[in-house]
Amino acid sequence: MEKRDSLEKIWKQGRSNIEKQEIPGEENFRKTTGKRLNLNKIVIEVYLGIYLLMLLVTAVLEIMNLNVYKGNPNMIAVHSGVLAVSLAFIGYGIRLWVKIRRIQHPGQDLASMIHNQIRFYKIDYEVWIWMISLTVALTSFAINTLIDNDNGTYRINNPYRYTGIMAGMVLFLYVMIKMVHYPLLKELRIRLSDLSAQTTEATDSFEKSRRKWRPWAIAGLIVVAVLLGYLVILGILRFGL
Amino acid sequence: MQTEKENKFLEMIRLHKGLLMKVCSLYATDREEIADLYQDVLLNLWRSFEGFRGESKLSTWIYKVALNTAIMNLRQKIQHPLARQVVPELPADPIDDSAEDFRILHAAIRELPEMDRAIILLYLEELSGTEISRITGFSEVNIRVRVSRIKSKLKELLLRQGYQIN
Repeated sequence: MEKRDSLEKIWKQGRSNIEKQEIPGEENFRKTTGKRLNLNKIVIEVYLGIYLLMLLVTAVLEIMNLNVYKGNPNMIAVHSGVLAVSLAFIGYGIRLWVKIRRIQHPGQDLASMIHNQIRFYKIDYEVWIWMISLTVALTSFAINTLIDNDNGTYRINNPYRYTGIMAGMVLFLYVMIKMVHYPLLKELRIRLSDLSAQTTEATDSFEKSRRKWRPWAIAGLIVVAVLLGYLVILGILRFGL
Repeated sequence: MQTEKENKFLEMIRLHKGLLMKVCSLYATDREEIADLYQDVLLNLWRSFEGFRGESKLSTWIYKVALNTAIMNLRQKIQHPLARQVVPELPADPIDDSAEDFRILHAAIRELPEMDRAIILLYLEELSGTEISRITGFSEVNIRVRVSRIKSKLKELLLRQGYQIN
């Protein structure tokens, strides 16, 4: 079998072959349409846009409701609550917008990029899908109470049925959004999971080998300590130190 | 007409083109893919060009952006059995043994998982442990362990093809 030079030497001697390759069109990089379009990012940004718009509409409707129901303390309390929730949801949406840009910033180190994206899709994204579903219920409530205002009162004739239908609608929306985004998200999650396994592989195997040798290291230290202790005591007894 | 910023950027790209080609050739399956990936890398570099404040070496930053772009490329996920065999054709002198050795080594590196490819590329390009750590996010100790494993893996891959490496 023929023996070759070391990996480092082979690489050093041959890398100019790659460097010589010609790829035209650097000057046109700004016209790049990005053939590898990040569809996930586009879908999420479209959802985010719709989500924030709906919340703005809800907030405006709730301000109108606060005016319309100003003589009704119960309704004021309810609409204040809904307005506060809408504003909190808007805040979360803006935070998400900023976070998406941050987690996909290519200037991060590789491991951070992977872990940030995994955390995003595991936590932030899941929370947000629930928020989108709840937003539709909030908007629907805001519209209903504004339209069905009866001289400053609003009556839900069957509160249990109303609650049940609203809860069903929220759940239905959650499932629909997940199903629509599922194919793209599944591919991304598999990819991230694969990359994550590659990033933790080194730490895991390193930790495993450390754990494997730890009992021996401890035993060795004990033996040395006992031996040294014996010699010290022996020295004291013998030489009266 | 190009702005001063664009001229500065393009000058930077020309100076580091070799680096970019090395990254793209390891993460793309054919010439068309290399060209696509190269353009994507340029776009990402351009987008983060203004944000680069010189906290690290320019080459470290370029490696980071290029490797992130290459590794996060989803299309790579779709691996047909034949695609893995199509390696970019490297211009090589038929009399030159070192070019042939390099071609075989390059093909073996492409067989490795994406993160391992990044680490071994940075190691073979003689970046320091600190620089590799900054780019990958792994500790320097992890990198040393990993490089050792990757080299063994590469030697094994090459041995299977009948090449023994020192």
